[in-house]
Amino acid sequence: MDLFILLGTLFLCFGIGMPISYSLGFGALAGALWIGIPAEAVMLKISDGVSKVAMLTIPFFVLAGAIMAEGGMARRLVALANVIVGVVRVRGGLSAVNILATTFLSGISGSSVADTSAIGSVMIPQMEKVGYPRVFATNVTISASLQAIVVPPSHNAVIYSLATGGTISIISLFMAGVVPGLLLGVALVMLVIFIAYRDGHPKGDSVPLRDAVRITIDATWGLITIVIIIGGILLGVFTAIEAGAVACLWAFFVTMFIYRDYRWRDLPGLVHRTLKTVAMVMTLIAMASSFGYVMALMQMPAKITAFFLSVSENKYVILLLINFMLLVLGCLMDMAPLILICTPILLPVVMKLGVDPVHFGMIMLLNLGIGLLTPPVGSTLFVGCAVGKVTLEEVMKGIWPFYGVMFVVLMLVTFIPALSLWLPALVIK
Amino acid sequence: MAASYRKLMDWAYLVCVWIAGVALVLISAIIPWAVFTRYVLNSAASWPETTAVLLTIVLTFFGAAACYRLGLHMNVTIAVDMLPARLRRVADFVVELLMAVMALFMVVYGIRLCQATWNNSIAEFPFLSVGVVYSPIPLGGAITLLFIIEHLAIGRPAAAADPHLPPTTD
Repeated sequence: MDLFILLGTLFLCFGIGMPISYSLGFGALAGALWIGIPAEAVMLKISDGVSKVAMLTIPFFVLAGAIMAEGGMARRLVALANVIVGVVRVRGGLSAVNILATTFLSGISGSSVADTSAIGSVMIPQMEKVGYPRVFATNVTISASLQAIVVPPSHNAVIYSLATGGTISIISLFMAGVVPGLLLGVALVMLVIFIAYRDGHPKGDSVPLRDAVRITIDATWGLITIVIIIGGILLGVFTAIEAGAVACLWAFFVTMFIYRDYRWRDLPGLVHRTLKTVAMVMTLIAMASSFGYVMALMQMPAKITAFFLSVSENKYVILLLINFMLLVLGCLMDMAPLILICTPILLPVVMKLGVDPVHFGMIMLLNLGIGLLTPPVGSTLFVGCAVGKVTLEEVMKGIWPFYGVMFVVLMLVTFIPALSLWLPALVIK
Repeated sequence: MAASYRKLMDWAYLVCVWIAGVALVLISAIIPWAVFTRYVLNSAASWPETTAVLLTIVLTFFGAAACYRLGLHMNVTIAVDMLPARLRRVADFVVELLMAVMALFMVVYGIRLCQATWNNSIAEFPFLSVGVVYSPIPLGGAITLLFIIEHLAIGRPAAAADPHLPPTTD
C-alpha cells in the first residue's frame, strides 16, 4: 500500500502534466505523510539535495558546453574533421565528417541536443549542397549526437554520478564512456559508408596542406577544453568541479578573445539561457533527493530487487530485461529525470548480481540516450527535425538502420563489460 | 488590474533571473579563483567551495520560480495531449492547484527550516546564519505562488520568440 501511495501520486501528477520535479516532491510529501514521516524531513532532504559540493559540477559543465556549442566551435570542428576524412577520400565522406565533427564537439559540449543543433546547422546544408538527401543528412546528425551522451564531459554522466549519491566518481564515468562513444562513432561511420556505396553518395574532398595546418591550429584552441577536463582530473591538478570551472573560463577566453564569436552584449543572454537549464536540473535533483529518501524508507529498492530476482538470477537476463524497460521509458520521458528516478531503484538490483555500477551507468546512458532519438518524447530528434527543416515522418522512415546500429552497440556495451571498464581501470589509479 | 499584476510579475521574473544570474556568474568566478589561490598564491582556502554551494541554493530556487513562470520545467505531456481540449483545461487547472500546494509547502516548511537553523552558523562564515542560507527556499516558493496566481487569474505570459535551444541537459 505504501508503494501504491508513493508511485500512484507520482504517476497521477505525471499524467496530468505537472512538472516532473515538483511531481517528485509532491509524491515524496504524500508518501512521507502516509507512513507518518513529518513534512520537515522532506523539506530537509530537498535542501540537502542542492547543498552538496558535488552539485557544482552541473552549472560548470552546462555553462562551458553552452559557451562552446553556441559559438563558432562547430564550424571549426567540421573543418578539422574534413581535413582528417579528406585524407582517405572515401565515398560518403561528408557523412563521416559529420560523425567525426560530432565526436569532437561531444568532447566539449556534453549534450546531444547542443551537438545536433550546432553540427546540424553547419553540416546539413553542406551535405545537401553536394547531393546528399536532406533527410539522410538529418538522420546522420541526430544519430551521431548520441556520442555526446556517453563521452566525457557528458552532462548525463554527471547526473548519474549524483544519482548514485556520489559513490561513483565522475572521472570513472567520463573514462568509461570513451570506448563506447568511439565504438558508436565507428559503427555509424561504417553504416554511412555502406549506405554511401549503395546509394551512390559523393566522395569527400581532400584539403590542401596549408589550409589543413591553419584549420588544425584554429580548432586546437577549443579542443584544449577536453585536455583541461580529462587531463586536469586524471593528473590530479583539478577536482572534477574545478576542472569544470576552469573549462568554463577557458571556453570564455577562447570564444571571446581568440575566436571572437561573442560580443560582450551577447553574454547576458547566454547566462540567462544557461541558468534556466541549471535551475531546472537542480530543482529536479533537489526534489528527486526527497523522493529517493521516502522510497528508501519504504524499502522500495529492496522490494524491486526481490522482484527482479524472482524473475531470474541470471545477470544477463536481468540486464536484457532492464534494457527493454529503459528503452520503453526512454521513449516516454526525458533523460535526466529517468536517471534520477531509476538509478536508486535499479542499481541495487544489478549490484546484487555483480554488475559494476560504472558499467551499469554506461548501459543506462546509452539506452536512455537512444530514447532521445525516439518519438513521442525525444528532444534530440525534435531539435534535429527543426534544424534539418524536415518532418518527423520523413526522419522516421530513414532512421531504422541507425536505430539498428545503436541497438547493436547497446548490446555490445551491455554484454561486454570490458568496453566500459577497461579504460578507467587503466588510467585511474 | 490584470495588466498591473502582469507587469508586477514581469518584474518579479526579472528579479529572479537577475539574482540567479548573478549567482551563476559568481559561482563561475569563485572556483577558478580557488584554483588560482591554491597554485599561484599557495594558500588553499575552504571558503570558495562553501560560498559556491550557498550561491547554488540561491540559483536553484530563484531560477526554479522563473522557469515555472515560463513553463520550462520538464513534464510528461503524452497523456494530456490525448485529452479533449476541455479536459486538458481541467488538467491544467489541477496542475496549478497541486503546484500551489508545493509552493505553499516550500513557504511554510521552508520558513520552519530557516527558523530551526537560525542560530546555527557556518564554519567558514561565523557571522552567517544557516537560516539565511536556506531563505531562498521559502522566497522561491512565495514567488512561484505569485506566478501560479498569475497563471490562474490572467493566463500564462505570451512566450517571446526564442531562436535558441530549449533548456536541457540531454
